[in-house]
Amino acid sequence: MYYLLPFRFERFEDSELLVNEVGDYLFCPQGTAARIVNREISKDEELYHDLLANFFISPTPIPPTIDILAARLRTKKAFLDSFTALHIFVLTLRCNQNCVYCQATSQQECAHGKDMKLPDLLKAVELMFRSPSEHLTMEFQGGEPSLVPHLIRAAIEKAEALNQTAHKTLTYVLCTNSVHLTDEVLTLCKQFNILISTSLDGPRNLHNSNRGKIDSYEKVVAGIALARQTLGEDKVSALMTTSVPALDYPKEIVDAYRENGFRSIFIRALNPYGLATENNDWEAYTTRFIEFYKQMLDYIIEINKSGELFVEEFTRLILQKILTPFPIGFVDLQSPAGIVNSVVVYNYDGGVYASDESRMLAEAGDYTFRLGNISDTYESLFYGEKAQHFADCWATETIAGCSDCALQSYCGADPVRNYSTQGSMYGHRPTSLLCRKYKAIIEHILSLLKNRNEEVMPIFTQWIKGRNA
Amino acid sequence: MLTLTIDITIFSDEVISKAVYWETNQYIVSRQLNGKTETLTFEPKPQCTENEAALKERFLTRLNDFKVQQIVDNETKDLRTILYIKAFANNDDFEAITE
Ligand code: SF4
Repeated sequence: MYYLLPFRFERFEDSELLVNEVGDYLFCPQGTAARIVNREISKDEELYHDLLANFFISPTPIPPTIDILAARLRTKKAFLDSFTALHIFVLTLRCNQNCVYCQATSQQECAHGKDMKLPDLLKAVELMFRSPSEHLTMEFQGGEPSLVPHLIRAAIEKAEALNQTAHKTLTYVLCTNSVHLTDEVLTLCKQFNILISTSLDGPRNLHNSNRGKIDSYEKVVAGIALARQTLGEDKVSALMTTSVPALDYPKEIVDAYRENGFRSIFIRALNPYGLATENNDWEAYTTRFIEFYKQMLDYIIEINKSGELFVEEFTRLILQKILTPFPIGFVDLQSPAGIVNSVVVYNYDGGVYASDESRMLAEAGDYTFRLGNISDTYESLFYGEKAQHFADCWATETIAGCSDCALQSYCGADPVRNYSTQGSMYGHRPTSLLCRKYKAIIEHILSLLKNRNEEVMPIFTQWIKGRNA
Repeated sequence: MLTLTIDITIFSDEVISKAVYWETNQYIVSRQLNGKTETLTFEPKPQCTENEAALKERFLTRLNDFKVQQIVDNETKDLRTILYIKAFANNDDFEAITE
């Protein structure tokens, strides 16, 4: 006789995938879950001991290891302990590029009234310091934030002053297209140890056509080189956005990153905000994106097998969820969702938003996820009615579809995306393209672990260790 | 249009609802209770190209899987609550609850 512990399962290829409450998984023959509940697993079977050791069954009604299990669960959700750690400051909506997939509804470089006002900025920094988190990340976004270095300086100087008494760990990130990194900007980055997060879309032709400019690639590559030279190699990272034309070039994009000295890439799908909504066949795009992801990951695995370390960051995040007890600091794959809990946005117009995507919706005239104004109190913004309303549907553990899903521990809830694509924060998993994408990617990674374990495990372990070291 | 009659003494409303939920991307499903059975009618949405045999096989598999999941959920409900309390509640509060 044995007792059950909470777990979920799904049919997986020719077998069954079992995942317990803390994300441990087992591949078993089909029908195993039914055998478990029917008490058909005998102590003589190896499976019995695997189930016991992996917290799927217990010899007693309350497992002797319940405290270990509770500690594991608490660790998995440790991102909640510190509450909002990522604070995004949209300093301006102005930009010097014209990207075809722009998700931020950026404005011409010379536009008026699109910069954050200084008093708002300083008040926003004060709000940030109300967060209980010991670690605060200030991320400067736009538009193109390098167009307003005086605002970056003012924000950081205010933060440094407040930190004289708060003693938090501060991280500064400048999200820039790198086409115009002036001496003033680089001096600022060096002085305050600001990390540069830039974007490179792949080879020259693809990058330039995405940016709507003929010389963007040369400028970005030169900007990256200059930033590395001034700040150090490890201070510059890059993101790619998979535009529709990019879907045909998985290998070429990876090679462009390698040629430009990057040791990793973050494969990122388009999202349905801003100008990006002009690509309106999301169903076809999602199907193609999933294939693109698989092709790119296969190519990256081959590169690693040849002895060159090259990491795909999204895969690494999911692997960290599958293979380690630790939470990840990635707001899109969290439950409860990243909005408010882990991220908040102070917009150029004085609004406070639940996430980056929330303010992009606002640019299209929809203020559903506007928490209030920078001038409001911390309590009303972070614990107010709006935040409480979002909480009704921000956990995969509680929403229809996700609550029974075996992949729940590895996935995340996203009320903002549900709202923008399906018209309700609660969402509808059977028709959700986000669900389809996450499911396909997580299942692909699990399939690699199941079918090509000896080949991929040394690589994946190195990816995870590199980050946790 | 596929019609299935389900014995509700074998499959609970919760189990049927969960299985139906995942079919709603391709089908409009109507449900009719008749005593100890429930009749489900699956009307394909315009984009649906699936044949009835495939739908029937998948739906019955889902019903059985959700029934197994329901047993796990029912049997572990209290333990799951204890686990979450132990993991997240303030320890003093928990002692007060269990005393
Ligand atoms: S979004 Fe989809 S894949 Fe993710 S937990 Fe929910 S049902 Fe599962």
